[in-house]
Amino acid sequence: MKQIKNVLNKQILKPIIWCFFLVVFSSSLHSQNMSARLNAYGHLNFESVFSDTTYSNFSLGEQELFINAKFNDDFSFLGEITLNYSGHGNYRLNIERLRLKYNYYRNHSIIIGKFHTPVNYWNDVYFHARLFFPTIDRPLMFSKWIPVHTFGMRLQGQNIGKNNFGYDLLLGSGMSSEDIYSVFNEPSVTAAVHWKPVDEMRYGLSYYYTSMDDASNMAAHSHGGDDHSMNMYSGPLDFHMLNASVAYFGEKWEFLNEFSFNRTETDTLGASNNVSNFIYLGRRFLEKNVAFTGFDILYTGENDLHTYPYDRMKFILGYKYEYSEKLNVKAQVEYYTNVYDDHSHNHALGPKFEFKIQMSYGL
Amino acid sequence: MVYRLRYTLIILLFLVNGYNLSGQINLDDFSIALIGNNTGVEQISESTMKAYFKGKYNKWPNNKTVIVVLSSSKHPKVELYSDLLYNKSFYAVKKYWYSLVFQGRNNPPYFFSSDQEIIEFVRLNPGAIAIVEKSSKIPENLKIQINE
Repeated sequence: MKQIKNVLNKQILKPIIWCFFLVVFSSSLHSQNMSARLNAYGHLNFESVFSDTTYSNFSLGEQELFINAKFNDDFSFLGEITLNYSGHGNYRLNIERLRLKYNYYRNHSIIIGKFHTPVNYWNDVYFHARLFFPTIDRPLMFSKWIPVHTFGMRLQGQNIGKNNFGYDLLLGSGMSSEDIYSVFNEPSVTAAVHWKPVDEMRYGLSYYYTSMDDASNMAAHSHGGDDHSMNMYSGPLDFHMLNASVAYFGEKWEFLNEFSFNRTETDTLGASNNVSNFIYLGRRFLEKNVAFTGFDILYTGENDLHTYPYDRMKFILGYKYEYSEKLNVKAQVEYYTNVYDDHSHNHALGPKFEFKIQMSYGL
Repeated sequence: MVYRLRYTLIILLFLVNGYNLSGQINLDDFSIALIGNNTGVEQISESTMKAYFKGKYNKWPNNKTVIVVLSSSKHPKVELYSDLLYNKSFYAVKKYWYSLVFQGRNNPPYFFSSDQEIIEFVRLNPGAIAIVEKSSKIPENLKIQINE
């Protein structure tokens, strides 16, 4: 199996990617009408946590540069770089997206590079810029198992037919490697479809699979929240994931449901079924105000060696005011508790309240 | 009972038709013209035209990239144009495009503050599409006819 993987990586996929890069750059050199646009996004955070210990933080959130360029009618480029505070006056620079897109026929494209794995609506539509988030935080599933980035090759189609059908088929790096240097050590496969029966609505379904040699090596989990702990299991693990999204962002009502189910398989403890669901409901009034509520739940099996046993529920109540399409402020109250109070899951974190304010902007 | 049912059906029919009629906004009623440069299209239906403005198609039938040209906040007809094309306010249109561009799905549109600027940009850029007032000085080769 490993030999087949190596042959696939070294003899087929890598040459294809290099050829694609060469074609893109040779084409761009001959182009006279290249255009590029630069945007910046960022946010400021205030949070108060009321748990066993109580504290408040005012912090500089993620800041990012976003570049969108067109080489010619067929080739375009998208880059996204973030800057995160990493403690003691230091900042960490990350390449979040860097991709070259070749629009080969009408609404069909081939993309190579590093991109957000199109497993659900949130990861495909928002991921880094808080300006677009409906709530202050991402759903809980993002801190546990959603493979945020993938480096590889992607076939994409969008707005096909009457129902605006779209597809993404992606072959790339697995969860252990989301960057250029160790690409395709443990490949992943993503197949996703979506359709938009009306402009404001989108339904989506996806399947993701990867096979890991070392489950403790989790590059794609770099966005873990404060509850996230390192994986101690360093053996092989198979990971299958199904996601379903329903999104509606209309003039008055906003609705988003993200469902995620995954099954992990190890020789050590067998198969484990894990599930999470995030639901958001917002009501827009006076064009720029949104009152919203949400509920997030995540539960993993006792024998899971990828996320480890974990259960959590989160209730959200918040308000957003948009000063303009490029500046908004959100205030949010959150209550966390465990699914089980009887400590049958031996990882109970206990209840906590959080109050947060976030100002996010785009330039 | 039969009469009541008949009246109810007539009222429902009226409401449905009335709703549909109010939902259809004809560009011609507002003396608005559609212009495009080297799109390979001489006639287009209103629904297809709106789909192009919403970024649903990346390319024209002649394989030219679609370049969406819109009125900016300083354009005197900005709210009318936004309503005609998107059935949204200009604020909502900006949000719509801002999100699409961030997703990497579309190239950003170009915004201009007068019809003359829009016409000039369309004239110089193959694949560009826009709407302007019919009373503007529009070169004949840029005009695209809208079918009902």
